Amino acid sequence: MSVVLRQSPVPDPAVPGAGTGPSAAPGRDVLLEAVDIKKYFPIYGGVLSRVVGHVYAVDGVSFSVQRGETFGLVGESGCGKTTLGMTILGLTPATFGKVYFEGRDIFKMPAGEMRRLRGEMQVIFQDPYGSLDPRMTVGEIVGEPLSAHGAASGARRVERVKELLSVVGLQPMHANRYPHEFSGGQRQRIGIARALALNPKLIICDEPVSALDVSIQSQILNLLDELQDQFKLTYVFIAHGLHVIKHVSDRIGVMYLGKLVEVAPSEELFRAPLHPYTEALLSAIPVPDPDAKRQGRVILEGDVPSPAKPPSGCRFHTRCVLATDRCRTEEPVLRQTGAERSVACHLRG
Amino acid sequence: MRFLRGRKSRLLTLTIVAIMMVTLVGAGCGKSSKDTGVLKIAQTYDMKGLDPINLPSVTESQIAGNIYDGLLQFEYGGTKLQPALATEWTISPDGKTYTFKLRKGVQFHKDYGEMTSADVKFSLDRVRDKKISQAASNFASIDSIDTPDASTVVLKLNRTDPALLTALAAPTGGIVSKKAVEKLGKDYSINPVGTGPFAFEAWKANTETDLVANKKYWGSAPKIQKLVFVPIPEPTTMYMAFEKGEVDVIQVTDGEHYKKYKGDAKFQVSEIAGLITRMIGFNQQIKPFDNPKVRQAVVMGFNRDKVINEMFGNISTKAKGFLAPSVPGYEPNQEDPPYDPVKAKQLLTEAGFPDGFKTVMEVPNIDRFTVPATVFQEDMRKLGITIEYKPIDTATALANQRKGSVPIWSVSWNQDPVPDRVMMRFHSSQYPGNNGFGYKNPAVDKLIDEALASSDDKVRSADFSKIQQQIAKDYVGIWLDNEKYIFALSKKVKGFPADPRRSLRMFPVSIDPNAK
Amino acid sequence: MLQYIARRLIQTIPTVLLVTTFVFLIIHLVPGDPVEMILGDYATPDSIVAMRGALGLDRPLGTQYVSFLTGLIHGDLGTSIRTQRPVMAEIRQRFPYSMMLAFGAVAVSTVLGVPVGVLSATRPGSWQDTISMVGALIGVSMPTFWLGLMLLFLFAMKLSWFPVIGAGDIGNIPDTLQHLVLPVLAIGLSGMALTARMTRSTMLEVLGQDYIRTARSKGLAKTIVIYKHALRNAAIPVVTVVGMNIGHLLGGAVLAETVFARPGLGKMVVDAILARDYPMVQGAVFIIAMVFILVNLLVDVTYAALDPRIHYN
Ligand SMILES: Nc1ncnc2c1ncn2[C@@H]1O[C@H](COP(=O)(O)OP(=O)(O)O)[C@@H](O)[C@H]1O
Ligand code: SF4
Ligand SMILES: [Mg+2]
Repeated sequence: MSVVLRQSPVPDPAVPGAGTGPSAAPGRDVLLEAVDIKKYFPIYGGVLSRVVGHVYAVDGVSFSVQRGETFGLVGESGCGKTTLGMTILGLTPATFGKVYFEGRDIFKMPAGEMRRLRGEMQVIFQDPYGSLDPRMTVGEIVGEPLSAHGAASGARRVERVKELLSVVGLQPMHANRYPHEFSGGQRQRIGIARALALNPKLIICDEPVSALDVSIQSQILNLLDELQDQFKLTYVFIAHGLHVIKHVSDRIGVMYLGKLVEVAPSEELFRAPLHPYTEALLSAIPVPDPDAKRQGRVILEGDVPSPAKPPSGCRFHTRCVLATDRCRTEEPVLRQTGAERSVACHLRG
Repeated sequence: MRFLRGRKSRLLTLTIVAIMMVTLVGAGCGKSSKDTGVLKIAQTYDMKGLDPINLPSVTESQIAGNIYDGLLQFEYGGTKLQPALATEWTISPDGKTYTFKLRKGVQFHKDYGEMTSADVKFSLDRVRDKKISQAASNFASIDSIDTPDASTVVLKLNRTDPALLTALAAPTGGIVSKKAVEKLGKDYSINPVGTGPFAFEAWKANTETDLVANKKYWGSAPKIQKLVFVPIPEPTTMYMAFEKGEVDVIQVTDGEHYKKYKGDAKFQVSEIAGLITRMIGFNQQIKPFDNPKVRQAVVMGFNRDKVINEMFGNISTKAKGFLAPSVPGYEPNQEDPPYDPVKAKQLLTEAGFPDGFKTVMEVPNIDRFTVPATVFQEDMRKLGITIEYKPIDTATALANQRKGSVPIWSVSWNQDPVPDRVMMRFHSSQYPGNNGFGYKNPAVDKLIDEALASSDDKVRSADFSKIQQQIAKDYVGIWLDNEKYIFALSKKVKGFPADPRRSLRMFPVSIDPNAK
Repeated sequence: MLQYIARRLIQTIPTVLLVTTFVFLIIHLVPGDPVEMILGDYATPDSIVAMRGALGLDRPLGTQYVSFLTGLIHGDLGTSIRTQRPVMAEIRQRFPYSMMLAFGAVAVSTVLGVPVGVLSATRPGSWQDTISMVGALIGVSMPTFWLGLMLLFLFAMKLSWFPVIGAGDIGNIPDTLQHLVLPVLAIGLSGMALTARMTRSTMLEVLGQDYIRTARSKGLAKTIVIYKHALRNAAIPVVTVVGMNIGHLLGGAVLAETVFARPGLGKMVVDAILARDYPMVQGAVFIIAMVFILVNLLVDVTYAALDPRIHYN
């Protein structure tokens, strides 16, 4: 299937470590680097089911993640976070762009090698109900990667499954039960145990707590935090609101309609947001301290435009209080504004 | 096909390939009737049992005709009576005592011993028992049966019955082994034992009925080793099986295949006018069919030639009268109203129906009845007669016709080579019942009574002529046509003539393995 | 589970009773008389009376029904009016052929229908998908009778791969299989089309589920993801369709048995109805109802085996 690219593609995305990535600083230990990732979903229509358009779910995203850090990815629902995550993992073929994992171009890998690599790049899904195969016992769910990758089988597999279950705070006897016998929080623990099975280096946590009761959210977040320390994990942590990732992230990327609009270390982002959209997201966080209001609230108005018909110029201009004529015609690029900061806005930075 | 790469899929592919190989290898050893000694005969239905007291249809009679002998038999391919198990017989002057001398040394199949007068008495007593025998009415004239010695049988009648000898020659008059019937009980009908040229060997439900040559047959030994009767309900399938050589003998029932096989040197066709008349009857007890002018108008308004030539393609001949022409007693000199729609319209007007009328017609839901019925309906529409036409299943059609609840109906009558039973169908005492016409003519009643009671052939044939002429004048029904019995045979079959009773007796038939 | 099966079996009693009663009433109430049919054109009034008496058909309907039920309880389905042989014996002769046809057709519709559906679902919009689904549409709408004749014409007449008539020698496996192929295709094809369509749509649904993404994230081979995870989850609707196919088959069987001149229960029932052979119709309907109920039970038990969330207590 051929995809009509909306923009003329960059001939060859940058090679890793060359410093072209927005946040790649020399001397850092880069585990993952995504370069100009695009993912367009075709829209079929008409009686003949022809391609009548595309959803530009991810449209040219680049960032890198250092070993051991947590990179937060935030943006409203539908802005392409999950798609970006899946594309990075190769679970959805990218329309364009490259992903380097420990310096290796994963899109160029043969299928077998790619499957092996899956042990090292794992994912925890948003929906703890839908993401566990209802026909399998917990033991099978957690143990399947072990046998698929030849890591353990038979009694050793059973042992390892029990071990993993206790690591995530479940009972070994739970191995013989089916997912429907568990609560949402427990299921998310099962999902975490499964992700840990092959000792991954990177885990993409795609809104791991957003489907859970507030009372349980912090338990899971704490668990993830402990596991990161214990197993030296690197996280890409996706959330749709800033409040969730404030405390877990080292750096944060803000996404709007398929694009990164701002990348900054966590504290700096919260202290001094640059992009008007980031500001808007921050104002959405309930603030206990009335002083925090000093800058005035920026309220997001209007609906998110459809990613199938993104606005011209700056994609945010339809909702931006600062928007000018230039914003409507010229697209701002993600520019580096500091050692570890970059922003895509004509007026800021 | 990438999805076929998995281990499970490979298994699936292997299984499919294995099945295909097995079946293709099997194709090499598929049975066909190419053997010289086996003759395969197609029939529409599976046989339901071969006990002479219960031969439900022509299917069973065709098979039973090879297994059993009666005291008499029909000449091969015809209807004349000949000696069979009785070598000679005498009829007393009053026509009420029949004395038969039995053939000596005739052996029953499967070592059931020699046929004696005890077997004959046993067989005839069974077949005339109304409680168990479907053919009892054919033997109702028998009052008692004596066996003065092992090779003599005397029938005492309660009335003269010129049709009795015919009944004795038909398959229902077949002589069974007393020993076998008593021994086998309910299983007898699928293990029949007779004295005929072929002995029953096996029956596989809806698959085949096998007969083997009777080595001890009293007549000339059959030339074929084995007869296999194969039920094939769907005609298209039957034609395919025939053309492919899976069966050797079929009955052809449509004009298209009749023409095809006649014009193809690979096949032979044998045909004869059947002892059968197809008709459309009206119930005179239902208005307006009480009016003879209405009946005449309907008869003359129906274009029979169109049905016979165009719709059926000449697989039947136009009927003149209700009897088939080959029935003894048939009267060729009778009124046969021509197709004349103008006259018909005029008659209707005279009868007081210038604008026609509305009525109902019920016919069995079978092509041979629905095809003429639709033409009839259309022809009647031209006369202004609106017919509500209902094709229904045979059992219902028959029941309603017998009840007298339907104005117009259609059937075929199979006939014996004697007219007696057909004549009775016009007797007023038979309504409701066999007289579906509701025809009540005292003069005809008298003629029927006289003819059926007489053993004088002159009286009988004179009466039969008068009856036929009167019924023609009374426009009792539309006598449409006499169906031909048409058989197609593969080239290797020698010596099989179609016969007017549609029997499939095979004892003189042979197979020429060299015929191509 | 055993308890459940036992309870279900007990529950079948009223169902079977209802079905047989209904059939008993219908067949006796429609016009037509078996004795008139047997005696044929020339039945005389006294021969009709005599035979009705001998067959017990002159008794009140209620009495006949009670004696039918009494027989049923003793495992006796009565005697065929037409053949004068035990109904059970008549059924037993044809039952194996009907089962062969039914199993063959279900096997074909499943073994071919499921992979076709999976193929379609794994590449929606591809030419394989288009061909499969157009084929399925044709398959579903093709009349069995016509299809049977076409298969005969092509594979038996023109290519001579298969025989035209019969069921073959039941002791000879290649011969039996060879005779089975075309009839099984004739009735299995529409079932296959149904199965393929159902498999495709449920597979499409399942393939979009998160747990399939999970399975892929584990680094499993594609076939394992499709067959072990997706197909297993798509199985319930597919099993339902397979179960429904068996019901469909009974109708198709009559036609296949007619077209291919095969023995079988379907044709036996139809012939018995036409001849108003009451005991035969009742007996056969009873057996068919039993088979039907057992198949349904089997389908439900299969559900439980396929889906741990389903429990029968
Ligand atoms: N498989 C798909 N086909 C078509 N459109 C998709 C598909 N998956 C996601 N999208 C669309 O892409 C956009 C981004 O979706 P998603 O990545 O799920 O957003 P997020 O995770 O940020 O909420 C949405 O508009 C969504 O409708
Ligand atoms: S570029 Fe313009 S529209 Fe876009 S965020 Fe900056 S100010 Fe607003
Ligand atoms: Mg998401």
